[in-house]
Amino acid sequence: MMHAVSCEDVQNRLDEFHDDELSVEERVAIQGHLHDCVTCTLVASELQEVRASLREAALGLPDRAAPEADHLSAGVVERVRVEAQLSWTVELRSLFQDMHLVWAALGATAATLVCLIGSLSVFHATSQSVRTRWPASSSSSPARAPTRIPSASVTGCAPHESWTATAFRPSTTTMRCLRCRRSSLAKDACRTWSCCPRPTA
Amino acid sequence: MNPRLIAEEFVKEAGALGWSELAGGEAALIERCVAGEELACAELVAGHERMVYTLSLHLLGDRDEALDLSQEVFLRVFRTINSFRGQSALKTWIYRIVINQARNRQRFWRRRRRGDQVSLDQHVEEHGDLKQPRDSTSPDLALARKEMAARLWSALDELPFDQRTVVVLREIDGLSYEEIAFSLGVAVGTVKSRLTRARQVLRRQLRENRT
Repeated sequence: MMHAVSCEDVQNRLDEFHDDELSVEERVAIQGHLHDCVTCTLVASELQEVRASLREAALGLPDRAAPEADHLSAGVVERVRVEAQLSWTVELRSLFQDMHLVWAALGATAATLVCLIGSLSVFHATSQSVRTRWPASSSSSPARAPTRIPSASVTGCAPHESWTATAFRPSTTTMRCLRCRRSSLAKDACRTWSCCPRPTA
Repeated sequence: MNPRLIAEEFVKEAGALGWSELAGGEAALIERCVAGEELACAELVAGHERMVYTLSLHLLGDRDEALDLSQEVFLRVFRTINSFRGQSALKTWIYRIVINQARNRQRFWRRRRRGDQVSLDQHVEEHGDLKQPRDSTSPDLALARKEMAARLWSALDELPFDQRTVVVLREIDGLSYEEIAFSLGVAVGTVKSRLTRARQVLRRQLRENRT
């Protein structure tokens, strides 16, 4: 027999039909189909049987008739009264009620701190590098302007044309090789540099 | 049907009510609770305690847990009743709180008591048999129905929390799709799909038990 709607359509909407969530027109169409179709009728009867069985099981639960459940109000009202007196502690506790959120918040805070520290480190290293590499570029700031001084007067080594010394402050005087661009603290320059011919004393 | 209409319906959100649509008595009761009137609080609890306990029991399956959860739910209700704006019926709003609290508690339980689940037979040994339904049919048929009901309830317990909740709200509490959607904080389409998946499992269980 020809059906106005296919079995697939009906079975897709059978849950809503069973739950009375369809319009009157749709209900009539599906009802007509069920009248003629054994397969869909079987599915519909299974849905009904599932509902009936679950309701029966729920009604038969041994714990369902707990007399305490009918006398909650006194305890609840008492706790509400106590909580009203200690409201700020309650608010604080409720923030930690769902530990998932707390862990997420702690994780986010830790990640933010790590990013912040990383950014500051990079910024600090970059500014140091710029100061070492282009000492003249900071000449606009008189307080930080580098002073070129003869390398021999700093290191005790003989002057060498490829070296130059830069001092931002007495404690940070650096030596720089103009050939290989390496730099070092002035006190270590003669000992550690091997890139260029070591100057003779 | 037009596919666009189907799509629109699928993503349709749960409907919202306004204050004006709430029953007058209910709105007045809420206002008195917000004002801190203890009598009103007691009245609100008395009007909903059985419903809250039963839903808690169906979701958690344990009497003591359900009683404890019921108290927590009402405390939560009174802590947050200031934020209730009549976006749903009071009952549906309370349902939502029950479900959220039960979900949190169930996560806690699953982590700690995963290995403590007992078989249906063991449960019956410890807590006694299910109540005999009042039935005028033959004893054999009544027994078969009772066994089938117990096995389906056991299958329901095995479902994921979200699917189990949808089934309980629909099949036992008789909530509409929109009310379920509001209670769970999801779209109506999600309710339908969860219900369909859960019912497929339960129908399969039904067929297996018959054979």
